[in-house]
Amino acid sequence: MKKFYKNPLVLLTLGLLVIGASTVGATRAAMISQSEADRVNFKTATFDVEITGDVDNGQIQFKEIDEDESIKIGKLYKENISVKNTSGGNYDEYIRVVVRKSWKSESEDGEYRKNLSLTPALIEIEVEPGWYINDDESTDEQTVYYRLTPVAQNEEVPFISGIRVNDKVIREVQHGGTSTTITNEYSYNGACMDISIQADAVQTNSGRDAISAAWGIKDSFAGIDVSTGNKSTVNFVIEDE
Amino acid sequence: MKTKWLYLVAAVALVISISAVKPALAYFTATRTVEGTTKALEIGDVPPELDEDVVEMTKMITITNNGHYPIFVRAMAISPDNWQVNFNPEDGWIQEGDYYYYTKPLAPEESTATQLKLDIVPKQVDQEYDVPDSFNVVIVQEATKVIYDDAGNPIPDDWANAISNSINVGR
Repeated sequence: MKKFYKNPLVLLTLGLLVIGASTVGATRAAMISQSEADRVNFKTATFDVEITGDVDNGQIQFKEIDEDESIKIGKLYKENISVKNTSGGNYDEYIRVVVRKSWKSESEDGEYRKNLSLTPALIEIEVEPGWYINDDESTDEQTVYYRLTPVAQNEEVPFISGIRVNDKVIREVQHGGTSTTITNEYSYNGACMDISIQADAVQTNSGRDAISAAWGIKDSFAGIDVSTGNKSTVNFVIEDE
Repeated sequence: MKTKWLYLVAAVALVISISAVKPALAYFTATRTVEGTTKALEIGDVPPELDEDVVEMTKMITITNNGHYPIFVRAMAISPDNWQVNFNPEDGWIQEGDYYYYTKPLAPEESTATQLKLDIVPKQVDQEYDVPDSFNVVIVQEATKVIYDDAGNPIPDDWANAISNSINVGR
């Protein structure tokens, strides 16, 4: 008898029996009512910037230039380009614009390619007042314009008002030809102006850190006021400070 | 014993790698780019065309712009020693020094509205000379490209950049 009870298998079975018996108990239920939880959708608002004005489908339209048979040197052609804060939520943003200018001319294979021997400084862009050029980041080809105050939602800020070709293009002449005939070769003849405009926007919350992280500018920079041409140290107007 | 050591090292490595990862922060940014290319500049030289009629001793000259770009034109007459050229005033032409200037710019394909009239008369000289049967009066014509101001109005011509063309005509 004792041996029987000491058998581990028997002990296991007995133990299981005891546990099984104790789990069976009376069940009770309480009256509860519960309605189905409503789904709440969270969506972060969109943060966006757009370039408006004489622009169609990502291409800049040169309406006044197209009206003239040939581009008149020195004439200021009207060209209206603005930047707009098109954020979905109530987001203000700081905006900067990078303008890249170049000359394109036809190369041997018939394609229009950037011509590096022609200087983009002769393409003059008129910018509306209120923008500041960062001299350290700008070259003949690339100019960076900053807006120091935040742009509110749906606010449209005018940027470019006109384009002009400097009359130095007529002066750059090479004299060639034979001993009896002198011909003038104009380096800029047949060249097209190519302009690229890139607008960057950054949030105004923690503005100082955001500007420093996105654009690498800490506090202030050496800026040229486009309306006066004066160079001075300028600061961003930080909203929440 | 060796494996226990390995477990310890692995555990330490795991703990460090988990705690060393910092949460990432991003600022909202947005960017948009547009591009555009204008048409080509057409500033090549095309010498203007010089036409002339001769009626008795008067030359009547018309200049036509055959190029693609507006130009200002002027002309000069070179006559032999014993002859001189007199400017017969005509609307649109003025004389300044040796040159006769057309006051308005010529658009592409446009001709001067009025003709430049030059009378060729003998000079008063002391000695006698034989009048030749025929002689040449050379008309030299020059053009310069028009430069505009901001409003699109042509600014007065600058003759430092003249393009030359000349024509040899008989009496």
